[in-house]
Amino acid sequence: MREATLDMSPQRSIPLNEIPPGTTLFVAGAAVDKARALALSLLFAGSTADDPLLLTTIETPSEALLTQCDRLHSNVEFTRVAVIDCTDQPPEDSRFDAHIESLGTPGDLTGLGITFSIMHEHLSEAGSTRVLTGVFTVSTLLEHADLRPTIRFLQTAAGRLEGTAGIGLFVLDPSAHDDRTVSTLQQVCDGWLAVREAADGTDELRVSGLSNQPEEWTPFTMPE
Amino acid sequence: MADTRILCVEPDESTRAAVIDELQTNLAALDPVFEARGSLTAAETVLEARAVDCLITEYDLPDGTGVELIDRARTLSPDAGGILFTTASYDTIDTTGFETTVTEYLAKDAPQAIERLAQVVRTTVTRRSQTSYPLPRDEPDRIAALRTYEFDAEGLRHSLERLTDLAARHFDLSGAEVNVIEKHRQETLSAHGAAATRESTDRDASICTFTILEDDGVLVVEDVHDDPRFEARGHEFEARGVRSYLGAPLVSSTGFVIGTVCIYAEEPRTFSQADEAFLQDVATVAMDLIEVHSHLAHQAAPPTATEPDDAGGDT
Repeated sequence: MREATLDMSPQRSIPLNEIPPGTTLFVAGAAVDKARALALSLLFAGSTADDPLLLTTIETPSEALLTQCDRLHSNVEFTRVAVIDCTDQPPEDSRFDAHIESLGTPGDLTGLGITFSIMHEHLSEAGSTRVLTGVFTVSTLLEHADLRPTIRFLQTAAGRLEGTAGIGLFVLDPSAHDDRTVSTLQQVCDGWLAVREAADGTDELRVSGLSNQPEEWTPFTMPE
Repeated sequence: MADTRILCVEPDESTRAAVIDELQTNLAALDPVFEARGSLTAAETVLEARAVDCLITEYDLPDGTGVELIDRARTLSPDAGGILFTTASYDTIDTTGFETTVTEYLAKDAPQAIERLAQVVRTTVTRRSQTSYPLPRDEPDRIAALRTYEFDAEGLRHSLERLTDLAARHFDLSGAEVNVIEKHRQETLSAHGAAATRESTDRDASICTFTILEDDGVLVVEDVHDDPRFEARGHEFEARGVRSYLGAPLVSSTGFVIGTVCIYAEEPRTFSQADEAFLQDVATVAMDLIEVHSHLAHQAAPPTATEPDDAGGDT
């Protein structure tokens, strides 16, 4: 099996070291647009052209999400991208070649989990190929489901990714939840990548839970 | 007693035998005990008798569906991992009424299906990836640490009962407990109040299982009905006399959190920093008692074998 590592070395504007295979990470920021953009950048810029990507969107309609991918990264090969669209705006004719599965409801975590497994299994070619995944966003998921079943869903997905040496990035807006929810969620993933905009307008990030990553607020530039 | 129990539910007898045969080979390192049944009702009989770590089921059962069975299994073995291993495609699976059950899924006719099933079972069991609560990062070492103690050592529970009585009296509250958090269950070593007759609780239904996640401090729940971790089962906690809660960790001499001391009230309430400090002191004394009594018990009769797993115990 080829293992999934997010190697940010070609993307020097994002000061992260390699994220090892099997890792799941919250990408968290009150500026959730920045958190989403950073997660997408990590998935696309940190992967090779052959790596399948599985994006689960609960908030942003798949067409808008894929448009953002296209804007952030030129020459994206969308045939390697699959999207689970849980928004209430299912796509009609997409201009992208991505495989889009529309669920239409984020509240059915059982259906979402089954779909995630099916699509992950297909993309990973029965677990033999690494898959990079993103969930956009866990905050929106929590608007439709209680914390405990959401934890079960996230841990089940994280277990699948760990078992197949994939990578998972779960986007979260911590300001949308109380401290008890945030501190509980922090225990679910291996690490926590916090994103913020500093007083001078600079984008900054820091990582906890993973070794060999910036622990202090570090400026970065979002890829144009 | 086996550490890993797997229940395989498949209506077709020959398929059932073939799946178990293959899994026994692929999962030999886990040394699992398999049970096999052909229907939802028959599977429920197994689940009522003992806890399972993993439930593998076909979706179409003669008397129900696999999703329904996994949901029922979680009422009896809340930590059980569920895997639909099925010929049913997604569009034929009805999740209505089971939206929060959450399960793994593998298509039976997929390439290398049985090898993949073994991999998913292994991850589900070893990582315990389908619990509804986070696990401490040092969970396997933590469990190993707590099993070095002799909780039935002579005089220990009596000493701890005096301590929980004192704690309840100090706080003027209805309940106080000393608990250890085992792999799947919270075992009560001593209790003051209504819990005195209760011996154990599913970890899934335990507030203390969240207390052991707190890095250094205590866990304060001022009102279970207003806490995202517990509000969905608020009435269940209230029925057990727990509306508000304060818990402090039992930290072993080797640095592992093996359990808790907690106090609780039937009404919402706040707790002061002095309350938190006092309970932490009680927890330190409780841990000292456990250490001393275990040490004396080991001196009298050195341990010869690992304590059995709690899975399959009194659920």
